[in-house]
Amino acid sequence: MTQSTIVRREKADEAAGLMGKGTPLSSDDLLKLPLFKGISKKLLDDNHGAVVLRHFEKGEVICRQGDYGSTAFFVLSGNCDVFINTPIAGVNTTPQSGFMGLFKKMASALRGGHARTARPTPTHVHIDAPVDLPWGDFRATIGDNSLFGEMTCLNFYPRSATVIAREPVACLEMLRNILDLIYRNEPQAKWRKEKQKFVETNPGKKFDKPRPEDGPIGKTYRERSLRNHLSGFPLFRNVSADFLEHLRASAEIVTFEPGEVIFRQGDPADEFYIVRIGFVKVSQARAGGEMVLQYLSRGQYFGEIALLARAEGKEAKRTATCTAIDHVEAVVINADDFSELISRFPDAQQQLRAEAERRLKTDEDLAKVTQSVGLGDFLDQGLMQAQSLLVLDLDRCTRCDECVRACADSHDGVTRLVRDGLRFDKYLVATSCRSCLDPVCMIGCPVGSIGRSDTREIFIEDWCIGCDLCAQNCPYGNINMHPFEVDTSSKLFQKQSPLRQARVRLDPLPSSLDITLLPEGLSYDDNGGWLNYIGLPNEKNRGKLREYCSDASYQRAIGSLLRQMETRVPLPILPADFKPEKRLSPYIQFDPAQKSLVFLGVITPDDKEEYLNFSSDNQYKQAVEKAAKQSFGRKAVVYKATTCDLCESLKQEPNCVYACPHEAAMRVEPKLFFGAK
Amino acid sequence: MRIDKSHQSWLFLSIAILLIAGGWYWYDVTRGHDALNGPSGGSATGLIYGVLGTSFMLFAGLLGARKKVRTWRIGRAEFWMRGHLWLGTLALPMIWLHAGFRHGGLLTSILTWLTYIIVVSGIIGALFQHLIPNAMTRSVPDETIFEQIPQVLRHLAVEADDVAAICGPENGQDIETWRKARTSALRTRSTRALMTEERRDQLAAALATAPADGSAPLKEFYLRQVKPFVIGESDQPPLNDPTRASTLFAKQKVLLPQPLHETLDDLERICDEVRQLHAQRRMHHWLHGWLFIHVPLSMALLVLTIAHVIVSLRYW
Repeated sequence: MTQSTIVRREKADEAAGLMGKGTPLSSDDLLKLPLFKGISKKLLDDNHGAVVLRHFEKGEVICRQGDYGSTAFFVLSGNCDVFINTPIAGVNTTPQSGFMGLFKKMASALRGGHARTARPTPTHVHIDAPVDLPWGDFRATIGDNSLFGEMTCLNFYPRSATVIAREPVACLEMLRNILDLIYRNEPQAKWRKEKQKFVETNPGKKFDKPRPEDGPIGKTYRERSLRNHLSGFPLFRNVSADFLEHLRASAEIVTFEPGEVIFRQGDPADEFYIVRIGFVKVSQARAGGEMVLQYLSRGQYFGEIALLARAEGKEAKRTATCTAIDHVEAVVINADDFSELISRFPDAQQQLRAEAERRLKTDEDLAKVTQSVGLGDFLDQGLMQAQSLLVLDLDRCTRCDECVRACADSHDGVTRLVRDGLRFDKYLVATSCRSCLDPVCMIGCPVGSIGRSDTREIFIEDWCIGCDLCAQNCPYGNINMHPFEVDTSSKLFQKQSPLRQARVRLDPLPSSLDITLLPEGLSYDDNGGWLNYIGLPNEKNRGKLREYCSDASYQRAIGSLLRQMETRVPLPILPADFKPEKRLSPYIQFDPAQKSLVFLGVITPDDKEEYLNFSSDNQYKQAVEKAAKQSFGRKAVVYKATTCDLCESLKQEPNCVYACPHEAAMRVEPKLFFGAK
Repeated sequence: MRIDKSHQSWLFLSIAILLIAGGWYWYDVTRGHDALNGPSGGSATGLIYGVLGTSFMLFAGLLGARKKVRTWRIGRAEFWMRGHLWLGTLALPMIWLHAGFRHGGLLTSILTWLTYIIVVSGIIGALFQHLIPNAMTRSVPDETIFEQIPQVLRHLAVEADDVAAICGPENGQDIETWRKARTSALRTRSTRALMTEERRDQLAAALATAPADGSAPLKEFYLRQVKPFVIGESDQPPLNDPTRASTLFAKQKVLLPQPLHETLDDLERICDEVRQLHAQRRMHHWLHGWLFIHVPLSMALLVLTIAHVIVSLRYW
């Protein structure tokens, strides 16, 4: 179990209080539901309490993106909105329109074509639910008999999306042991083993024995979601409806346990896989050890290279080993259907061939990197994990920080490199992405927003939900969470309490203020003497901030800081029928001394509707309207992960190196560079 | 920027420009157009030198603008820096040749003196930037980001306090209250990943048994010498000098019982880090401080040069 898994599990345990909120169901109740058909009563009795019935009112949050948990949900009745609340801000630079846009385009030409054109915008974002979210809107609806949150339940990954009851919703919340029981399909597992054995002993022949019936989950997925999922992939965009229907019926839904080998390099090939849940490691055996080529997540496919070779009449052998990193579920398409797909639909064939060629070329490039040194040594040393390091020659570096500024200039003012790190003689290995050979940061991203480009750089896409998992996974601390300012009037910025940011000058620093222990969210910047705060101001943490130090100047500064984050409107008296809803109650207060209504967070458009419902009093409603107007458009902050992508779209040297006036910064291949020194 | 072999081409180019310009000047004042009246800024040759000198100055000044558009692909910053160094220096002889080695009136005298100061400050700056990075690399192995120095110093001061807690409370505080407060602070600090668990456990164990036997002299040494140095109240000998500091700690080791030697080593390490950070700060100021003279005067020179051009053209 990796350190990151332990952290995830601990966080999931912290969030486990959820189970206490529902009504435990008896085995008799459960067996009445089709989902539990075929599961023995004894097993359900043994796991009593591991599945509870929960009711959610309209507008109530069932789960929130980025939160940790250990349960999955099955909707019994009602519809839910599912969305990722991730304003597109900062991680990638978005082009501007108008005069400034034109100017920026001209500047961009001088910069060497900064706009990211290499990666196409996806049509959908794949999340941990039976629906994919369409690009641009990032929201969808799920109804009864929908299972969601399996990735969180099985692998302890953060929730990939926020789910809110659109109407009164009843659902089952269950722990992993129950989900395992539901997934279990012994006859299919047995049939699959038989099939694999047959293929190994009779290469090229067809296994005729019919597949046993799906289990309840497989059946529901096949009937309700598989077709939508398939049609959501660019690969199947131009595939006819009848063939999709054929695939829906014939595809297998197969689960793999963590560590299970899906196929090995050199095995005969007869299947094509699309990942539905979990992460798959693609690796190759090389002289000296195993080389990780890629991690594949939800929505990505593998196994096409050998099947394409087979379609050309060549030997169909696997070129790499694929292993389940965690609990993996894959949609498996057999070789005959795959052949039909590529022969009938040239577009699909073209896409598959392009992807296969790209992957083979990447493998070849990686092989070149590692061929002249024993792979064992190459992997053992932390630095040698890297394919590219930003190295500063300290004898030349004047510590002017032009490299850091150039990085910030390239990324909306947020630098992705820190001029600090390991030292080797006169060389400083700066804290910036190393594009590791084994990019473990990619494992677990709940929305698949971290990826690796053709040229092997790691990139993080705009729809990052800020769950922090990649930052925890990076062994070198080179992925950072940065607060990005967003406009609260953004259409997507709803239903989630955004963070607020404020700062106040505190200079000189009071001697009794220990800034090494500041409360969560508070930081002190020596340059200018600024006290900064990023967080969700509510009564609890306001108290903590105030109590931290009794110094008068600190108290004044904190008072000013908190006032900056408030929205205050006059209201003579709090109405008698005032009843705040639980979600928003920590963010609304009445100040009797000042006769004013105080809002502690940002009032988003949706929040306003909810605030209005807290009382029927007209004066109160007017005060809310006024506060919403004041709050509207005020800047708020969301955290997103950032990492150095080596300015991959430039196709030239990265900006940090280009902007160094002292020839001190250089991007090097560690093996060649340190090997030669 | 290090001035090394890689500057050869710029050196040769500069020498060539200087030789051609000097040769032409010599020819002009001995046998050419200016042989009769002597060299002047208003003559055709003088004007050419003036234009050349101003162009070199402008190019040198454009480095500042280049740094504002770091991501623009208009030549590597390193190329602009080399141009800044060599052409900026060449501007001075060009101006001499332009003015016929005279200072002229008030405005031109100011211009010439400004050029002297800028070129000299630039040469000193280049020298600093050639030598100091190497010295900093060797003498400050625990170097941090300059802006982070106050933060790191604060953390070191807190760490020193944690280490010295083995001697008990500083000022007759109730031991239990003191122990509780320090343990809680230690826990909070360690949750923010500022120290390893092992280190935290070590310090917590020392707190639980504080004050250690025979720690009174250590407490005295800490409060009188180490603490004022670490918190920045004193940057005086002996602790600001590595050799004398080392001798001082060695002496203390002889005076203190064996179980406290580890604490003493920790305090020595902290003092060493503090000393390095002070040294880094000093060197950083030398590395960049000269720019406070060089940059504003360069801007003034550019403005006055424009005024000089306008005035000269008006009265030509």
